[in-house]
Amino acid sequence: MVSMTHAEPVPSGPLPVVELRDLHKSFGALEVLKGISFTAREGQVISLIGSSGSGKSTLLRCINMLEVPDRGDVLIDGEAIALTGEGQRRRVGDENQIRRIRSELGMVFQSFNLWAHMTILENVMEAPLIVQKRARAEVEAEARAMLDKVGIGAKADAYPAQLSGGQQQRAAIARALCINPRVMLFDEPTSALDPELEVEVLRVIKLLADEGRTMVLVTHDMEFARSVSDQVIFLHQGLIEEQGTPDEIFGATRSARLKQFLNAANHG
Amino acid sequence: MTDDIAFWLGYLTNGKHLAWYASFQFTIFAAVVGGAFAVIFGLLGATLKNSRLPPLRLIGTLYSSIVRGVPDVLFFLFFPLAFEQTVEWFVATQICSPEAIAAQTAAWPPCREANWLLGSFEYLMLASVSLGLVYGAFATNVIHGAMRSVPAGQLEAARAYGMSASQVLWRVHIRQMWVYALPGLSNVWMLLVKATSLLSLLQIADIVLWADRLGAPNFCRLLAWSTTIGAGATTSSSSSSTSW
Repeated sequence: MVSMTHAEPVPSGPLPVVELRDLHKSFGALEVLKGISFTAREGQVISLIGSSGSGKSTLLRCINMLEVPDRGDVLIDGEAIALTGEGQRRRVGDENQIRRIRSELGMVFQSFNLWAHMTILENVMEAPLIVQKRARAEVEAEARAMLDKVGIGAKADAYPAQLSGGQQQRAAIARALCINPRVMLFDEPTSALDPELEVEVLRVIKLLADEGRTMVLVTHDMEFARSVSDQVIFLHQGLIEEQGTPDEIFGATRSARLKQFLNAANHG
Repeated sequence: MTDDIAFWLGYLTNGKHLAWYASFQFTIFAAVVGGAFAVIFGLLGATLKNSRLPPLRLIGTLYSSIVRGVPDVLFFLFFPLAFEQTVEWFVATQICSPEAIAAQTAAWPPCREANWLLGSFEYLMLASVSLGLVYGAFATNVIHGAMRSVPAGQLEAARAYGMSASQVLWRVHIRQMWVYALPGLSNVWMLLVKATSLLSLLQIADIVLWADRLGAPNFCRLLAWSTTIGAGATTSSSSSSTSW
């Protein structure tokens, strides 16, 4: 069954927002990324799929330099992130630049990582106030609007521990939205959730995709990747094994490894 | 009515009582100020110990292991004495004329003008700082452990949103750390409250006096201190604990 609800990726046209060039990353002797390049253009939703240990999360974390690649470059809005040093000793070269760039990348983590000592509202307001140094009144209005948007406006004054996993993850999404990000980065946002809580988070992410936000998403949920993405990238052992539109990846699978992976995912 | 109260108060305001109130006040002051210093030194020590730079880490580790390992009493003696004499030495290098040094007959200070007369408030502060130094080393270890217990993901989130290293430290790391540190710090606090009694027993004023006498012609610091500990312990037990 082939659905055509999503636009085909445009090869040129919208500007590239995230561009990865030949990324390599090793942890000690273990080579996790072996040369990966892709581009996320304005408004595109890109899903990274692959089995555990294929390097999906590491790749995502390289975009905002939570992991520094040993080789290769990351460009955000055409601006290369400055790095110094070689190989595994490579470091961020310009603290001010990386802070500025990070303040435009909204990251959502598998384990939510809300700050436990702040209320939900404070969590959402923290980065706009402290990092972007915007006015409090404006930020508070926007934060409340974002919480309403993800459906937990009533929980603004609760602490993270008082919320269910699904609510926490939606709060984390509101926190990422409130910095007006150029790109949203999702690192397996539903893997720590029960199936019934998963739905509410996926609904929010779908909403954002339909708004035309640029997003890079690491996921184990094939149905969801199919429904939400413009591009799907299948990683295998640190390399891009297959890349294409959801219909190409799920409908007209070429690689034997991807077939095997999708079979396992469907029956798992 | 007021006369009655004044009459009965007479039973609570004789010399012994007043002395007891004064020492009570001293204990509270030394404990609170010493506790504050302990937390400050503990935070400093733990930050050093958590540092990415090996030399800073070494300083933090040395502070917490050495100071915890050395008997507290030594520090209560050593710190006020050493601090006072260091200050006097610095003052002496600035103001003492050669004539004044030649005219000085006592072993210390180098000249009379450099003498720093310590009042009871200064002694109290020195005592509190020594308490802070000693228990700060314990607090360092407690806070260091607590800082490592803060979930790494929350620090990572803070970095991912563009916070600088110091913002991550102050806005997330240290604030989260208290939850894990409080049980350990309450232990340190109890020990510290008990140690204030040790301070009043030691009578720093007496110790400084003893150091001066023992050190007289050729002041050998180590010998003087090792002797004062014995001497301090015996003299203080016989002298009243209320000269503060």
